Amino acid sequence: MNNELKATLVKDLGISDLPQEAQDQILVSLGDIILRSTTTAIFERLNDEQRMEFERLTADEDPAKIQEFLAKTIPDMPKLMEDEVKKTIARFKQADDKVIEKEIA
Amino acid sequence: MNTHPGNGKQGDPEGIRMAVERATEKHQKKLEAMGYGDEQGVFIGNADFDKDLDEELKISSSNPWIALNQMHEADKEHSEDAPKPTDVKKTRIDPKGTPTPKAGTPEKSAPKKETAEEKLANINKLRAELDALVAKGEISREDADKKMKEVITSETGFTDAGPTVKAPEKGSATPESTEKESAPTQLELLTQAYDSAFEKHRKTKLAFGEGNATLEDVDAAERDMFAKYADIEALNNPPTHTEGVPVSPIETAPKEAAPAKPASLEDRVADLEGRMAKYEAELAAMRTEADQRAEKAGVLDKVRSVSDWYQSIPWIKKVYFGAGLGALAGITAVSAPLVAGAATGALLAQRVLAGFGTYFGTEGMLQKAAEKGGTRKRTEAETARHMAIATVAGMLVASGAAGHVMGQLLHAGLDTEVGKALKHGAEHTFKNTTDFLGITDSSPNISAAPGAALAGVAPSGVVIEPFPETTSVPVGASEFTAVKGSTVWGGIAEKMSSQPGFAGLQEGQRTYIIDALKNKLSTMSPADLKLMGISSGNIDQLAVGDKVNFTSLMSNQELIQKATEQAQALTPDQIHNIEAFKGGVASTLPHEAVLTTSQLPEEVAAPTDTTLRQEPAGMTPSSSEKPIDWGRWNTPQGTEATLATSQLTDSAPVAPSPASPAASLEAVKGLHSNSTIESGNFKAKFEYSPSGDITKVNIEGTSNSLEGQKMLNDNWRSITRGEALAHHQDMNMGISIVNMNATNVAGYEQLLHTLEANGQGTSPEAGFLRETINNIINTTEKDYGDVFKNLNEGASISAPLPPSVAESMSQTITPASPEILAEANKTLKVDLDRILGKSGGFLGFGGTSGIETPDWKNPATGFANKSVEEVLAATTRPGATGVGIENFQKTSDLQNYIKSVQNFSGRTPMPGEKVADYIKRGAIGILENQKPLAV
Repeated sequence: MNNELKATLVKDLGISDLPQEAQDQILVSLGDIILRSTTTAIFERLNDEQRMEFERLTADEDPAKIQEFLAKTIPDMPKLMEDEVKKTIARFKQADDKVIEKEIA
Repeated sequence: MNTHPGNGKQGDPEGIRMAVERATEKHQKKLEAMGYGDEQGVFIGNADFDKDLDEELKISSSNPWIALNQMHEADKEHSEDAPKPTDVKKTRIDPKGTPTPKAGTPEKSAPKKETAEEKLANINKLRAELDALVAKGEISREDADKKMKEVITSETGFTDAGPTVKAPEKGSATPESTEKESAPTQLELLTQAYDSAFEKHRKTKLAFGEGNATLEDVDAAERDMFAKYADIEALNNPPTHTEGVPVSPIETAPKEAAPAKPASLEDRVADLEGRMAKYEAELAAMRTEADQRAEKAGVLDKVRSVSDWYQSIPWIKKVYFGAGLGALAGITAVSAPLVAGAATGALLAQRVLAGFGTYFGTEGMLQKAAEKGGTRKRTEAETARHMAIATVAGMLVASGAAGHVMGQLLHAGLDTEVGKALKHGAEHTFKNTTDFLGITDSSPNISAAPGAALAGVAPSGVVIEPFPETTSVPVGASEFTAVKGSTVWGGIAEKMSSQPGFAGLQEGQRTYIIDALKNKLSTMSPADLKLMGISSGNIDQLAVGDKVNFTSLMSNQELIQKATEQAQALTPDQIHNIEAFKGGVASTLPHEAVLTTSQLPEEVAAPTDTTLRQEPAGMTPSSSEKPIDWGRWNTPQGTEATLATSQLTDSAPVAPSPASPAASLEAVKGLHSNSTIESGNFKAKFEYSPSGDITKVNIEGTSNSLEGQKMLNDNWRSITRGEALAHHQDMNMGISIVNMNATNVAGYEQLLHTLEANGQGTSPEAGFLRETINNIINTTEKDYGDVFKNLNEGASISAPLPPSVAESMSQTITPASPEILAEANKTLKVDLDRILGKSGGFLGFGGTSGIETPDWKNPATGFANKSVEEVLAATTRPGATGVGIENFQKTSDLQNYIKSVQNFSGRTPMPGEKVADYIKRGAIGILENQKPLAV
């Protein structure tokens, strides 16, 4: 991985003063949370009928159809993902502020 | 061949090198005791090796080279640059351990009885003596280490617990307030220690891992090890201040100050742990919030399944994923170099997301099938099994291993659950990776085009022209049609040459990358190669008209990225050597390497061209004009040996070793201008100047790197790593280079033996080969130390194994790809965790390591030392709670597991085969045949 990439992200998250291993742990945890929230966000955008259709398509081994379905039902999928990432990072920064505040206190 | 370069050197790199070498020695012995070759015991080996290295580094840290050098520097200040009485200054140690003068404080005047240099020399001498005694078997390594520690503590005041700070000395200066401001905080010290320790750990694991598996699963045990490393770092860079006042281990504390008390490492760890605990609590709260949201949406089960999948992917990929998310969020696009980085991170994130999609789709598919259209609910057991299958599929897609498996799936049919799952995943990877979930559009830096990684690994500040954004690799763009004289290497080169950015690399770097890709193909089975369009199933035999589809190869971003990173890490000398040996020397994979041409300039070729063939004894050449293809040279084991034999005609008896000097060489009557020696698909052609001098020898064909390794000293890896460390070079790179050069030497040696066996040992051609061999060895040893055996004292090229042995060897651990081996290693670890470990997470990941338990390791009763036969035959008393084979439950569980492995893999245990070997072999069989492993 490009260290500068990670360093920039770590700095943005406000954890650059932590040991690398701790930074990695936090990045991994955030990845998990983002996957959870993204998955939920996808389903939130689907009605019951679409959910059934989506599950049926995923069982049909045809990724082209899945892609087609998602493009049709969630045309702003890239933005959805980006929003979820941003929301999670913003939420973490709030948490980071709380940790720092506790440290100071 | 040369004098061992490591002896007698001073300084920290040497200390580390020696520690690595000792740890390697221990490690190798342990692996041998467990029945592993050093190429095969990757996973188990690392666990043990980490401990060994940990111990050895502690010894090295107790032998504080840095501190001694500091003392040495301080001595020099006294002896060489002795200040005038009025030139008062004091030596102190900054946080990095570098002595720095400080004006304004009185200089210590007490003379030392022994200088640091003398102490260092004495310690070096003692270590050498102790090593010699250990080598002779007169004392144990443990005793030697203990003695070293005693002496070091006596000489330096250092102990495992840290430096012994001497009492304040009268006349010392009072600390200055400015020093307090410059002194590092406890947190800074610990952060430095952790960072340094982690980096050391990472590099060491990379060096010894021989694959990605070593970076995976950084679990709790490894984190404990980080803490130990941090402790070691703290010893190497001892806290040199009390209450902000820097002191030196050899300096005295200020007169008026309280007795110096180094900052407690425990306190600093506690501080960090406290902060991390708060972060973890906050992250846990975020996870809970995410789950609550999922529950509200009615998809909690799906979200947790996805999370389980994510937890199962390798740790390092998860880290990449996290950083790749940053790119998605647009955080990182702040500078030119980061554009390249963002592409890399996002590329990895993309693959993870493709794996996510694979998991999701696979699990759903299996669920649907199990519930038969909703007529019944799948059972809990079925659900768990489906999740396991989906996880395997997701992991393979995420790791890039699905490409290899895909070919076999097509060949073997898709009638298994895992087969269907992998087909699903593979399609995602190779057709729709970047399309899946539509993330491509959101990130302009994402590209799945082959070689996109090239753009991502440009040196900082240099952005290689990025590849165009495409969503897939058009099949036609990666297809190569063979014409007369075509080679696979040339086909790859042609396809790579059209990739933007590739042309900007140096020739040696391009050669390195192409060869890495070609070597990847060499690990594929003939069936897979045929599926690619190579009708012969042999990468060395392209038929005119073969349409070779390189799509899967060119889509393997991880492979391309790794090869590119390594190519870009080559030193100018290494690039020069590769270019000089043009023809494909840059073998990075263990199975194959390409023999190369010599470095002499090309001259005018003489007109005649006599082909010399080395023919099997008892065989009659079918034609005096057309050489018989006897298959591969030096194919000592497995399918290659079988292939070579199968290519003989019915009238031909079993081919003897082509390496045998005694083999007849009827065509050799004398060597002529432009003489060619040919054996199987291996050919050496000499070129001559008009005056008859040899100017060049061109070697074509492949040679097995195992033969090359026979040219090397047993400890060549540790020597290479030590030298690379000492010279701040990449250790993996060193291993690859030494390996490939040895392979070349083996090939030249083979030719030389052929000439010698036919009375041409004193010919100019033989002399030329000897000179070439010596040049390669000298060049290699100049950079990497005494790695070659003395070729006149025992190194020999062994003959191919007899068919019976080759047949049995074909059942040993010779996986078709590093990915399969990595998965097999993981299977071994995960399943032993589950059977012998104390706990395990999803599929056992994250659990306590089973291979660290006494049930596995105990020398007398542990399963590690038991053969499969012994375990299966064990009649442990029901209810017995002993260790290993004396524990009824553990033995029963392992017996059942072994039977399952046999059932699913179809591979039977070989006589005397150790449990670990068999499990790995079985897992490889399962992975290669797509038979799900379930117990």
